[in-house]
Amino acid sequence: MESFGFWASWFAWRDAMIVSLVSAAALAYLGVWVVLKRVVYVPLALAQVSSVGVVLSYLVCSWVGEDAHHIHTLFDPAWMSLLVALATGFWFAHPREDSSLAIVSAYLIGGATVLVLGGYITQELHDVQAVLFGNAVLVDTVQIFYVGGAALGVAVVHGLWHRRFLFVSFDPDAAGAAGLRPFRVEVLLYASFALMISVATRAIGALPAFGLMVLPAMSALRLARSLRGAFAWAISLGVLAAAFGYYLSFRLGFPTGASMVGLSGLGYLATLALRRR
Amino acid sequence: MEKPHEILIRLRDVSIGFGAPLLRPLSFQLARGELWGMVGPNGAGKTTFAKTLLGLIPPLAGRVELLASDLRASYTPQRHRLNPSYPLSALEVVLMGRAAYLPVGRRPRAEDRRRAEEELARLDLAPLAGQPFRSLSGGQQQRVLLARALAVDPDVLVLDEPAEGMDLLGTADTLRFLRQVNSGGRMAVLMISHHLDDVIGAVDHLCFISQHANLFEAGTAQAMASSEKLSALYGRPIETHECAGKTHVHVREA
Repeated sequence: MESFGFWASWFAWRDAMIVSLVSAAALAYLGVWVVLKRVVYVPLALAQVSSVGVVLSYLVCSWVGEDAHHIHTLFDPAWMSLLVALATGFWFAHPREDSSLAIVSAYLIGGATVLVLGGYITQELHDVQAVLFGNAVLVDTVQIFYVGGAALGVAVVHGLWHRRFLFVSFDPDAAGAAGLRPFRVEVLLYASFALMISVATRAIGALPAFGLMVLPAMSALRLARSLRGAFAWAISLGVLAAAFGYYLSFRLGFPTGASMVGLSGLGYLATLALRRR
Repeated sequence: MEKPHEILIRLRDVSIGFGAPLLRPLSFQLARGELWGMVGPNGAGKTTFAKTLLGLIPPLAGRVELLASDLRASYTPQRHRLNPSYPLSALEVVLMGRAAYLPVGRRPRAEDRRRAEEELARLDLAPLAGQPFRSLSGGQQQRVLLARALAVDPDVLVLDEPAEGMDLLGTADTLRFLRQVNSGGRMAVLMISHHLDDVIGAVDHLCFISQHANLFEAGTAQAMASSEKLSALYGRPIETHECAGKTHVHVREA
């Protein structure tokens, strides 16, 4: 497709681009925390357990005979996935010697639950797949508000609690001795991961949400000399990967999410080569 | 108002451990102005004791009483337990301690920065303030953590292996520094260490702990630094002797 076609059809991709850029910025910022805390599989596990919430929502709706898209209650797929992700984030925040066991358990149990429960909602399975793993090409306008609201919430919480997040992540024992409550601070931090992952997974898909959270942050931490620099690099790289990934997919017909993640991956490989020289 | 010898923290019949008690219930108290050393074999329960004292781990039984109002406690962990990948400068690490006492959302003020720089300077780290923490040597990192602990003007200071990663001179300087900063009697200091020789010479009080020997004993350094007590602690014959006014410890060959 020609570049003229891309700009001429801006109305078709405007919403998707806005959602992708906002998601990328927020995910990449949070990714710095995830990489520093050495819990890079947390977003993957949260995306997986979010899908349990969506399936549960459809299951409840099929039992009561209503269309899940039209239920604006606790059983709405968006709320259900967020609630399950928040509950899992709460579980992850508990202090452990090895957090990877909890993360792997959540991922596996979440995956198995979706497969088992998915068998009961075969008729709506196509809808469920769309809700579960999103589509960065076709985005409802309402997703701009979901993603924008979640990103704003993350920005406010991190703006207020940044120094506590930092102290508790870097040295939880010293933070606890200084009177902070490390568990409560960790719950808030993991809740921000859960909120953004749950919303972004539904908006742009599981693969781009995971990729945009981890890869730009990994690159940023190789390039930056300060924490502030790492956040700035991560957000810039995430936004660039989302924008150019979308453009490439439009021009060359690549899958959109894969293009975004592929560019982020190339960026990481470039930083590996740069720092080695 | 700080009162000399004011008891700050008291442990009454406390069982320490995770799930199961490590040793029999113990009682202990920490008063302002005291400088304590804690020694014991590897896996004796030293860090678990320190964390229980600071309220980081709940006791399995008994009571931990904080007897001073607005008690400020600082803890420097074993350096290897920290994640070295954080891109933070030495000054940012020290400021972390100050930031813990600020209201949510408040940035450190000029006063916080001044106190952090002051502590870095006291530990001869002023030229390294802007250096990445992860690029510093083990001994320098340990001193940065000590500066962070002191920058909050604590009432209670607990140091877990403060000489870890330090050479002979670094260890001697750090121990001398600790005596010096506490000479005004403002703080209570508990120092966990494997450097038995150095600790015995630096502290006023000693505390022995051993899970294997089910032993917890505390007293003045002079009373505790005996061959009998040290042999009971380590389960091997240990001798002490005085040389140039210092107590030295060595393991007797079988």
